[in-house]
Amino acid sequence: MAKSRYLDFNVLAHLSNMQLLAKVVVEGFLLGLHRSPYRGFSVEFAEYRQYAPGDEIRHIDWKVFGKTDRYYIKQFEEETNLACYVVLDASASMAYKSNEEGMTKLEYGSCMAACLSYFMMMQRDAIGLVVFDTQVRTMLPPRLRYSHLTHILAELENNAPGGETNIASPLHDLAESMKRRGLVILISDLLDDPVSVLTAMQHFRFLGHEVLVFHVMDSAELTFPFDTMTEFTDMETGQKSLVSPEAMKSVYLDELGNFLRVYEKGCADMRADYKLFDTRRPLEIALSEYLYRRSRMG
Amino acid sequence: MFPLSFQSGWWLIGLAGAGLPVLIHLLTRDRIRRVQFSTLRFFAKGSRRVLRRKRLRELLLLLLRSAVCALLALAFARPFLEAEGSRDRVGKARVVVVDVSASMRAGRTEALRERAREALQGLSDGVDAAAVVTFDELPTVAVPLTRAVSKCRDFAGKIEPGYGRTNIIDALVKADELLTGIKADEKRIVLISDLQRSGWAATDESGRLPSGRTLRDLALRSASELVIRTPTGERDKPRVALLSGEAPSSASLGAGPQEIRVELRAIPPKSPDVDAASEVSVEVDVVLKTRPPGQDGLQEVARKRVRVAADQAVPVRFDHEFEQEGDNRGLVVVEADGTAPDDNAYRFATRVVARRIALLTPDLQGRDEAQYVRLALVPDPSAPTFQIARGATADRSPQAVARAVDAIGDASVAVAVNVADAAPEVVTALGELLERGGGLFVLPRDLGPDGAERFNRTFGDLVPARLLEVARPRGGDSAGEAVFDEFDFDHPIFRTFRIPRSINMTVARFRKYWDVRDSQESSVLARFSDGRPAFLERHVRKGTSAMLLSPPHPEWNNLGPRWIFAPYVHETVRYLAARGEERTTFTVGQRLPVPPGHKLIGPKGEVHEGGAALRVKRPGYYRLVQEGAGGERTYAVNPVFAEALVEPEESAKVAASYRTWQELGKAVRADEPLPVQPDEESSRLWWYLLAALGVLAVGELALANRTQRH
Repeated sequence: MAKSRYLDFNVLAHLSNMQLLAKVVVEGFLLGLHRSPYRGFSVEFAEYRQYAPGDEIRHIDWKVFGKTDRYYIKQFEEETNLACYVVLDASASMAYKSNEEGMTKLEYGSCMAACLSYFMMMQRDAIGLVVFDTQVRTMLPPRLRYSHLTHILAELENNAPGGETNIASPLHDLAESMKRRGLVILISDLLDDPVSVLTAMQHFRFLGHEVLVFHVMDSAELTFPFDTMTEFTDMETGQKSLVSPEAMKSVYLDELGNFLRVYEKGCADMRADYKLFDTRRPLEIALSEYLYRRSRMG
Repeated sequence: MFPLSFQSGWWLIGLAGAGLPVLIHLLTRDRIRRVQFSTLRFFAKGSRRVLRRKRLRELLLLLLRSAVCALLALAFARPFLEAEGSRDRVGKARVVVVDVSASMRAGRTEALRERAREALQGLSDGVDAAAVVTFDELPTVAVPLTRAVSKCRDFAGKIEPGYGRTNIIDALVKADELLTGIKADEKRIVLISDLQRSGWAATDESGRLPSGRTLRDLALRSASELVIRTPTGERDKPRVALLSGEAPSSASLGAGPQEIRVELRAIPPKSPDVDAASEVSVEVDVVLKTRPPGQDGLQEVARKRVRVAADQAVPVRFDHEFEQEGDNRGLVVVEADGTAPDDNAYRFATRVVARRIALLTPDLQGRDEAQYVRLALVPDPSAPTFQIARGATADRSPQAVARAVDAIGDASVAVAVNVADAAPEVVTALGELLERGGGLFVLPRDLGPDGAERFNRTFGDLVPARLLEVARPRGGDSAGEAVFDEFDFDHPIFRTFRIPRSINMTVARFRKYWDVRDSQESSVLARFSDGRPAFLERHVRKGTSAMLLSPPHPEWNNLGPRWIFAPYVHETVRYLAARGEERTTFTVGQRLPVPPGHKLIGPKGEVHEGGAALRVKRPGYYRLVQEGAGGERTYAVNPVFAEALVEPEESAKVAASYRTWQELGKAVRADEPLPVQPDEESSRLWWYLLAALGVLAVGELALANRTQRH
């Protein structure tokens, strides 16, 4: 497999003893570690139920009929693979990094997407990639082939920050285009109107998708470490603002806190997982923490 | 309106410190950093408002800090509100009149300053007003009436007595003038003086007032109260004071020893036992030092040890011969215990000149009267007292005229013997001689036909009188002769003959003499026994002209061979020469002549440009230098010796002498302590400023805490 700059094998090695367990059983066509909500006719017996008109005759358990003279249908819980959509925000704001030697949010998010893709591929989960800024720029539907992972990594490799953020619209488009329920992992700085973004997430939830929100922020965005009179230029709109940081810091942090709380609360309300990532923190630690928490939620 | 004044105005330089916070702000102000940021959504709303608020706070903080700096400088400058002009009402108006005459130098300087400071106690800056007048011979307003009382206090600590004489009246009048028109609750003059007799005695009720002054001058119309304070300097040892000094301002080279004399008196120590004090006698050395021209430093030339008593003046005389031509400096100093105070010395400057006489006769052949005069002037040719140059007036050749003119031009005195007329050039030269202060001694005799008329026409304007005719004594003795009868023995020429009076001036007998007319402007220094003038003097231009109306000649008199003739001629010529010479010894307070084109250099090197006389304030030697020429004259300036003789009177007695003042219902108090008020009042405005400063500082602190810079 081609080595990608976003695929940190050390990270993956660190994650290999964990399993990403989907919180809910989604439909899939490969057996996996995820429980399927569909009781079918696979290997794992679930229960019997009485035959009802419309059931296929081939699913009748004739041995039980021989013993009880009644028609019972044998049901199984099937292990299925997960259709996972990694939705990566590639807007201009994702190009921000406060440290010259650090990663931009987009790089951090791409790295995170690569790791997750590879990890899920190892679990025989179908993985797809959606990259968007104001609209969906790239969409690779979920596949369970290793070659697909190569495509995903290549796409991440060539990913470049785009224009303004418009999260809601591409998410709505994506929701409309998804035919099967699955896991939607949104990697974004979420710098958009929280109400519209949450509405879009609600759209996924409405369609039965599990939603994971990986909120990627630069450490400077979280702590506002500026100390001298600064003219800030918005990376998306080009708008300028002269700010006295010592006077503005408290305002900024208050506003940011409110912003984060809206997402946190909105995600909790729709039972979507929300995790805030600081680009300064090692990626594997962030993923580990998340997966550990997910495993406990099991 | 109350204009603001400052007691320590130099602190106002600190106002520049108000710019310091601005400077620091400019140096440390934020450099704008430009940053690309992910979003402005979190501060776009509040940034402008916050920025405006921050800038407002910074501006306010800057103003506060600048105000604190300025206020600090202002507070230390000790401001106060001064009444516009001096017409506005003040609490108390006080003029401190301080005696800085020479008598205050005798160990009383500190006591004088202390008294002056005491006199200013109880006055508040900005509320009361004070002035300081110092005086010696003339009053000086040292500090004009001002609400900045501390200025007066500062000056009081720097009062330095001078060398002048005491004149209390003018100082009090000046102080009274300062209080004129001032509206005050209390107007007081505080006189600080040793009340030396010379400063006030002439103004007591006996009516012995200075010329032109009346008792009404003391009415001090503005002041309501006069307080007299006498500083008491400690003197535990008797000292010797110079009372006077005398030395010739000029002398002839080779004229022999000149008399230099001083008078001394012992000053007893301060003692309550008056009788014991009067019995004091002190033994001191009196030293004569001289400095001939061209030499450095005064050299001791004579020393005398004398015992000086307190009850009488002791004269000390030195005979000193000046051996070099030019200005000789001299100093007579009293040394007690091997030391001599600076102001206890008599300085003099004696100008030693080689006196040149122009002897004018009709021809160069000796005749009787000319021979007598020449022999009288130079009795010993080996040691001539005068240098004589001769000129002939009858010879009108250019050479003869030029010789006569040259002789007059170099001379200080011209002696014209039996000269009826002369060439115009010679007459002009004689006029110039008188113009430059020289002397002319005329001895007319037989002048020939129309001699009197020619004489009057030629010399009428230069001589004391015009000749009328040759006369014989009226009502003379049996031989028809007259004698000298009336002499002006007070005149310098005849002063030598006054003591002893045993000289018989009648040994000279006169048979003929000139009768004169138009002699109203002349002084008759001697008369014949018939009452006619015998010897006349008149000041002509800047010089002096003298005329003997019966010159020595056997047909006219027997004066020539008589022994009195030589000293008479000597004294006359010496007098005429000295008349034209400048005075060289002065006293502090007198005016030194400084002609245009000259400059006067004082004892400490101070230079006074010429054109006006200088009233000297300091004893010492002054040099008069003609600019552009090498000539230099020396003046000696002495302190006022009368001031050394301190005779303090009881202040109560002096106060009582201001009877006129008391008659006006005003108080005169002597040596009563002044009321003392706390000095804190004097700095009221200063405290207000400090309080404001404190408030501003607290405000700055609070605002600075709220305006976090980084």
